[in-house]
Amino acid sequence: MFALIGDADFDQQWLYNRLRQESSQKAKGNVGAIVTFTGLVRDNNVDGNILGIELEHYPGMTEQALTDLVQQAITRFSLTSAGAVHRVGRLYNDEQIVWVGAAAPHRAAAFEAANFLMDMLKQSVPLWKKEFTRDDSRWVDVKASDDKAAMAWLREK
Amino acid sequence: MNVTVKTFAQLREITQEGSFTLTLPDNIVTMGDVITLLKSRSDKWAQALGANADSENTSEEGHENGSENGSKIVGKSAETDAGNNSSVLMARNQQLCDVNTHVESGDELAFFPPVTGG
Repeated sequence: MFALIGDADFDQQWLYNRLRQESSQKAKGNVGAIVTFTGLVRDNNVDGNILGIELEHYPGMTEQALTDLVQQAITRFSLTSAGAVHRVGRLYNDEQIVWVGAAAPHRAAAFEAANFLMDMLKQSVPLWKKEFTRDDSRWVDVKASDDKAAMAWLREK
Repeated sequence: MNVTVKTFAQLREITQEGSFTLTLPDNIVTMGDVITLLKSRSDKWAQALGANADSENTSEEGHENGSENGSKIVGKSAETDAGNNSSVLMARNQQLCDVNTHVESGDELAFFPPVTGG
């Protein structure tokens, strides 16, 4: 498993290969599905167009919280491996910001786990987005729908 | 005893204190006590942590009244506060905690708004 935080862009192929290799070491011949998700920076918010976002995080706790989350997903969905990557710092529109991947014997668990990772990441990993325009910036509010999605997983537990 | 206090995002901007050492008097036992102490530190801290929040008055039921002008202090499982962007989360030694959590000398205590990654 892996959980990475950093300001550099990431290479999906490298992450996919790492996930596949780890899975195969753990359960050779029994890895039937790999689901990956990549999030990009949108160029608009509720108030209009933005130039990008600035991501603040809590060094140390962010890495630990993301590691704990990936570990939870592996246990909960019996994954052969999983990984998550989140970028911090200043990101411009259309840039890659987040990646999660889940590998399992069957696709249902892999899809579910990828959803779980994204929903819970928005609830439990200390990262904060600030959108910026040419001459202004504002902190992003928590979306009620994001909270609801995470709560649904917590209730189902 | 001494602890390190850290703030992030809006709380860091409001308090203008991202990280500092705080000396706690002997009567400070829980995170709730620390919040009461911090609120008396300056108007900025009172604003950041909410005028109406106190250590005795938080639970999973949530408290909706009187929160218009200040932040609400919530524990990690205060689900009735979902969507309330003026809430404050807290961590002790980089683990989410709540107002009832006990603090010890050398702890790293952090206060921050609900997270918005992803």
